[in-house]
Amino acid sequence: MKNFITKPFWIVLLLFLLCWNQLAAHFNTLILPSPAETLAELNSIIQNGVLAKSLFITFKRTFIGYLAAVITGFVLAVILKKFNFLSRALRPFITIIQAAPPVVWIALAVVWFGVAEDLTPIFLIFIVSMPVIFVNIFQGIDSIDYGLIEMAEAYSTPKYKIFRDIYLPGILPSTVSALSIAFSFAWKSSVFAEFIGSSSGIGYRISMANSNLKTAELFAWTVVLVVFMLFVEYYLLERLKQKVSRWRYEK
Amino acid sequence: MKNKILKLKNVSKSYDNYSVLKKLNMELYAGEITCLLGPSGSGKTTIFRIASGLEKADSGEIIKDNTMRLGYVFQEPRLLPWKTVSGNLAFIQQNFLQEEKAAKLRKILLDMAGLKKFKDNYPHELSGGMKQRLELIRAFSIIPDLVFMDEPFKSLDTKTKYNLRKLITVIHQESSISIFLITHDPEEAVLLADKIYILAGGGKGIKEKITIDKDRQERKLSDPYIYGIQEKILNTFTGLVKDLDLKREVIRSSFKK
Repeated sequence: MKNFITKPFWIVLLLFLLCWNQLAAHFNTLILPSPAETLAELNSIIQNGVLAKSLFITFKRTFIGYLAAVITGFVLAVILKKFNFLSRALRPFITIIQAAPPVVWIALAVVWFGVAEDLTPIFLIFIVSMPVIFVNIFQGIDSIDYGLIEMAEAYSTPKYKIFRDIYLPGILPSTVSALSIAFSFAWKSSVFAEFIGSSSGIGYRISMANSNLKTAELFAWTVVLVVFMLFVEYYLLERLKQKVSRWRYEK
Repeated sequence: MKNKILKLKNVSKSYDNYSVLKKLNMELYAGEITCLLGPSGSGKTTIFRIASGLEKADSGEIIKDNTMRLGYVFQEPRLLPWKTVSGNLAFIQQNFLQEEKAAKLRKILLDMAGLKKFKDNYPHELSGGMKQRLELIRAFSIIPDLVFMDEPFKSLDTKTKYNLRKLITVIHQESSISIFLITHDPEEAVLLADKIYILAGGGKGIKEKITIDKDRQERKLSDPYIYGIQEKILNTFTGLVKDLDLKREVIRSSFKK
């Protein structure tokens, strides 16, 4: 969290909250709830246990879909890089998947799986974040210094060691950025899918709050989503990035 | 008579119909430092790559004992950025030596190269000269039979060059590991080599072969014998300069307004 908690950030955040508070005084709660009302609503969903339950459900779905996307994207990138004819045959399909808007996939998912509890969100998460992982790793493999591999081979280094000690660390920087970008995609798709095609999770709660005109609750959920995303991005992934940057060299 | 350890016989190589090497012949002897000297673009790196087995020749033979252990010093240091100085050596040593033996040799080499204090640093934390020294000692860290060096002195300053030359000399003296050194600098060649092959540009092959009979430790650039060899080398390089002298008339008239 180190490089996140900086003075300028807190000052701007404070200014933002003040502006919001001032603005909210001029509007109906339905249109713009105040920070205090949002906080009260947040407190209420914490107290009645809805927050923990929904967060867990959404997180579980995100995690499954994301993990499947990471593994598939990675394996696919490695295989396609290894076999050129597969690359020529399949590479455009990844772009096609990426080109189709998420709303198309969610519409299809609802048709295929119905308003399924887990399947619809997991499908969307997978289909949206897998290409991100794939493209980053695919390009990452290209950026590996071939001279290092040639050197290692010249010194009779076994293949598994070349993979473990040159290929893997070589694509680590692009893997970290892929993980980070794909997670934000996954997290947002998860909520989006729940909003449209599920009856549980944060997205569903937002959808309910929206149709019952409980704008303060909608704001409260947004705070939860953003805070969680920040936690993953600046805490978990930052640690990974720091580990990588220890040896990262300027190109 | 020393043993022949590597022989290139009628080796030819071309890239995209451009002939880089044509029927090239040369041989290396055990325990010697053999220098290949040539101007840039004369195919030095190609010979380095073919002789060391990194690349295949289009035709001709490379005769060597395949059980020979080879070391490589690349022009640009090829170090793993995510491994420490010591880790870079160990990574390669593991393929050839027992850890106990490897660690002992690693310690001595790091000390010799002035890298002892930096053994736990990463390559990006080292200067250019330090990286080149690490690249060099890595080649020797596996107790090789023969080390190939592709312009290890390129883009180094005078002091760093001197240190590196000294390092090579001492290791060579104490280990009698054979060295094949590629360079474009006649000075390095006359100070280090037992034999010098001078490469002519444009795929014309070896132009001249010179043997130096003087103890490496007693060689000085000011020594008449060494100076004479340097002169001889420079003379073989001066084709272009001679041409220029012949063209003076044309040059002068062309510059007239």
